Amino acid sequence: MTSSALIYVLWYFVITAGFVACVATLALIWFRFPERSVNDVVDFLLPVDLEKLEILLDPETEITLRSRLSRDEFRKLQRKRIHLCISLFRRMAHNAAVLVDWANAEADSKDTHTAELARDLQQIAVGVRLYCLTTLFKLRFWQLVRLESWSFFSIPSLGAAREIRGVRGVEYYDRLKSAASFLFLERTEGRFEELMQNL
Amino acid sequence: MAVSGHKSLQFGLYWTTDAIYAALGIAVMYEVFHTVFSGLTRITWFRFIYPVVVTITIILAILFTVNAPAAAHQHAFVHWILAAEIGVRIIQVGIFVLLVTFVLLFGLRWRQPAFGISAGFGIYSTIALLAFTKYYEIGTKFLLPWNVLSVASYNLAVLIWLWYFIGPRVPDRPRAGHPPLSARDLEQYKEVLRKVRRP
Repeated sequence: MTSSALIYVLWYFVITAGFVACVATLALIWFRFPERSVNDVVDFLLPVDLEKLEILLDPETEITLRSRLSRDEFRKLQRKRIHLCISLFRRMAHNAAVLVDWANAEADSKDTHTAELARDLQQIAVGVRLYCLTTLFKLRFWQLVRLESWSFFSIPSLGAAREIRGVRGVEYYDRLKSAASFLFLERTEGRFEELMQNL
Repeated sequence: MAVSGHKSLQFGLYWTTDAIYAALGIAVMYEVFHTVFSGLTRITWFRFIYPVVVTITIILAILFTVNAPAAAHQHAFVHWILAAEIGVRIIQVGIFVLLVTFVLLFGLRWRQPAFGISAGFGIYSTIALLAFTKYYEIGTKFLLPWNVLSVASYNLAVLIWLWYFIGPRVPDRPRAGHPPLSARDLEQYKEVLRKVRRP
């Protein structure tokens, strides 16, 4: 490919990306959830079994499984474990998105304390979503190339997804639960137990 | 109007202000980027996004300028000012695309002035780049549509800015320096809240 052809491609790539962004912005405005209040949180959350996730991401459990099962058995099991992990991370990412949306609305509150709690929640929820999406990308890639099926590659370890760039997913999600609880209790007294169950 | 009788002065003044406008354009986009992503600058790779986008843009603008027919402009400096202007347009589209991506992925707030500024510039720049490309491809026959498109897209950008700035402004509150929330904090907080709300 000549340099002028490359420039031509890059040039149109920039213009196309701009138009796609315009359409995405319109879609974002059109399909957005109307101002999310404290009453629109609990029903939209998906329960996440953090203990199960912790076991899935535990390197020691994985070492035990590797040693007790044959390579083929472990390969099949690991594929199922990756599927389960993806399912849990998707729920976590979804919950983080709902909480960011709610925190965005509460951050405008005239009450300084509420606004500060909302901003804390915003910050943590964005971090959780970043962690979940990065991990999901990694796990989806493993699924795509069926990394565990190649005999010349070692079967991927879920323990590697436990911590990404210094962020420990399960602990960070726990902080998200605390931050959401703080703001929730500040805004309302009812349905707190339900919030905890659904998170 | 004051310089309308002096062609060379008018020429110099126009292109000088155009160069200043290009430099200010980069500064505005930096401000937008810094404002929207201030909470994410703790992530190491995030700090490099803006310099990387600017560097790629400069390379693209230089390549485009070198490959473009020089005869279109008799003055070399006009050629380079135009290249800088194209560079700024690409940066504006790039930052807009980046912002839309982050709003969609992480739920960052779209109803904030910084996003409005970026959306206005992004939409205007996307249309301007397309019109500019068509002008280069079709020639002077495209002059009238080019002018109409430029004026229409700039007016659209102004409307977007007005829409964003008409809404109530939320004052920026300084962030508390403390790290937010632990499970123990939550228990204490719930206890205090119960005591306070008990009649």
